[in-house]
Amino acid sequence: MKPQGNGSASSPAVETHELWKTFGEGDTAVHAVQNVSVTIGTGEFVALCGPSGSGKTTLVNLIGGLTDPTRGQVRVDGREVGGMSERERAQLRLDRIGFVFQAYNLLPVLTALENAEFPLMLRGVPRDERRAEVSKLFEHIGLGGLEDRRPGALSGGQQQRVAVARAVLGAPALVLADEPTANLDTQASDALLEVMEVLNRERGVTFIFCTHDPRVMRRARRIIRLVDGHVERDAEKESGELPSWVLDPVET
Amino acid sequence: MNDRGFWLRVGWRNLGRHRRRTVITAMALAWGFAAVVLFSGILEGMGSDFIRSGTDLMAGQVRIQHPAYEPEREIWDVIGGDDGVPVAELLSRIRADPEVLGAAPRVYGAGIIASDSTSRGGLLMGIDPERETDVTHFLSGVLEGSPPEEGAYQVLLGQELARQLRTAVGEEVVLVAPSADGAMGNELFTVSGIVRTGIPEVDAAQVVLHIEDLQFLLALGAGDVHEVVVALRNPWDATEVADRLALDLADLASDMEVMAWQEFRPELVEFAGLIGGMNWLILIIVFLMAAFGVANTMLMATFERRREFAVVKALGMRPGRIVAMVVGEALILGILAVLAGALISLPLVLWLMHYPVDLTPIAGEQMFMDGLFRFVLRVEPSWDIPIRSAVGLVVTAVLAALYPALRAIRVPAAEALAGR
Repeated sequence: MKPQGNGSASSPAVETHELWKTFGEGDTAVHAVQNVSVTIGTGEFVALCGPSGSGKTTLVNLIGGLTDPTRGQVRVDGREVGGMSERERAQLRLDRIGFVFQAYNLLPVLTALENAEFPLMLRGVPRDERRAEVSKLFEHIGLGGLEDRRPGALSGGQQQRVAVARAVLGAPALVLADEPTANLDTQASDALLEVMEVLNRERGVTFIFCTHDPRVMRRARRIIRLVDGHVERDAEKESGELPSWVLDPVET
Repeated sequence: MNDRGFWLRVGWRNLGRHRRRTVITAMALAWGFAAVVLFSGILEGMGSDFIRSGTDLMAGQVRIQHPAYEPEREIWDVIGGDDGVPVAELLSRIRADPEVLGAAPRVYGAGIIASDSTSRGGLLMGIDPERETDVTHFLSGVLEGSPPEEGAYQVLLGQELARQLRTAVGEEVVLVAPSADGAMGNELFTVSGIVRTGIPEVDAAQVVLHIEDLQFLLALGAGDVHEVVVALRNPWDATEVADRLALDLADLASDMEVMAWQEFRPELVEFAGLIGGMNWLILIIVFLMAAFGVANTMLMATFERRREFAVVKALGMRPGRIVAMVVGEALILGILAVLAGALISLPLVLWLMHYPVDLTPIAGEQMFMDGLFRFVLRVEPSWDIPIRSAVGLVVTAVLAALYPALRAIRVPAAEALAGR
């Protein structure tokens, strides 16, 4: 699947073309992503699965412009990420992409509310408007009353919910989520996934999850399985049932 | 809370994460700032004292002469030339200037002074003793006797000259001097006193007369004076006052030149420049230390927060804003240091401003640039140095944070997020 043209309203959300990411050189070189060409349309709800070290996080980092490909191309909204300056990439992420990181990565000096509203503030959203959005979402995902707590005073699950809130507030065009439910119980996971599904359904936000969590994969409409850095399977999912190939025998 | 307030709070909280390190850095900067303010103030005070001692003894801070009087010092080159000048009005107008403390007229000549036993060449200076004490200090060096009185044909002799003439207070001397009309004036005088200025050349040759007596001896009129010496409240204002007086007095006489000490004592200007240079040197040394301190603190902070910088990059924070965030923390640190430094230095500065410490008992009086200098530890009141130092310190802190800030925007986001 070769990327086509420049950015436009009809461009896919994400396209990668013969994408490689290699760490190290010579005998010690590790190919974290190998010749990956995928196209993810606007409004898709995609799960990237595969065993640990299969290249899921690296692929997400490449899509988000957090690292440069060794070879190949990445396009977001039809715009080539590899050729962008740091400033342009920052602007792209600010305008179009929300990130959920594997290890929460909340800013420790900010309160839960300040962490969640941080991207909105960078975008210049007025204070009252962003505070209203944060409060609404916090109530929905069980963080009501925790607005003024610093990350150190929140449980792992609460921190992860703040991290997800930070990524989805303002409904970015694309959310890249690395194990967003890893530290959540079933109830909290479902609440978060519901929020994401609503955003996906109602606002056309594209979601790409790196996940081992069957609950996430059940909700995904497309599953891409990576093994050793290359795409092993890429299939639309027709029902809530998980195909047997998504589950790694060692990890399940 | 607007967004600017938000960033200030973030900067403040980040500095508070390592409170001990922040306090140590801020206190190092604060002591540096306090040291600059205090020592620069003392240096300025010393500089002013040097300038005063170099001008107060005899020269004055502003002087008025005939433009051709220096360097030949011809007897007929009096202020106003052949017409002379209305001295009383001249002095009255000069003293009307708010910056002027006093003004005194002088007449000069050269001649031979003879005692019963010997004779010597003498530098004759005619003064108005009452006005002279408003302007200069040399009459405070009278060791015995008193200054010459008007119409009494008295002379005050330099200590060394009196010794060489083997004369004493109350004895008679003869003065012979070429006068303005070409004749030789001579007169018998009584020694009214002995003076010691501390300047060897002066003490060995100075003969001080009442101005009217010397005018009579030199066949000069009452309106013929060679010099008017002016004392100012602030010696540093001399140039402006001289310019102002030149304009104000222009209608009194055409042949008249008004000069500030910076013109007739250029060596004092060089000395003032030296003081300024030392101030800058102190400033540069302290601020270099400050720069390294801030750079070290901010580099450590940047290194510890690699992952956080990666996160904010991933969230779309532009490089310029990351730089502003790091630099903002240094700005807060610099402002804190200035406030703490002001608190440290203010009591000392105020104390030395109002209660100077006289070190003369330890250091003694020293002759310096034709002035008798007393070592007094005092701070010259001035906003210039504290403001310059405060701005300099804050700017130094900000500049020193630029390198750490540039390191922050170069953090490889993916690697830092993965903990590599």
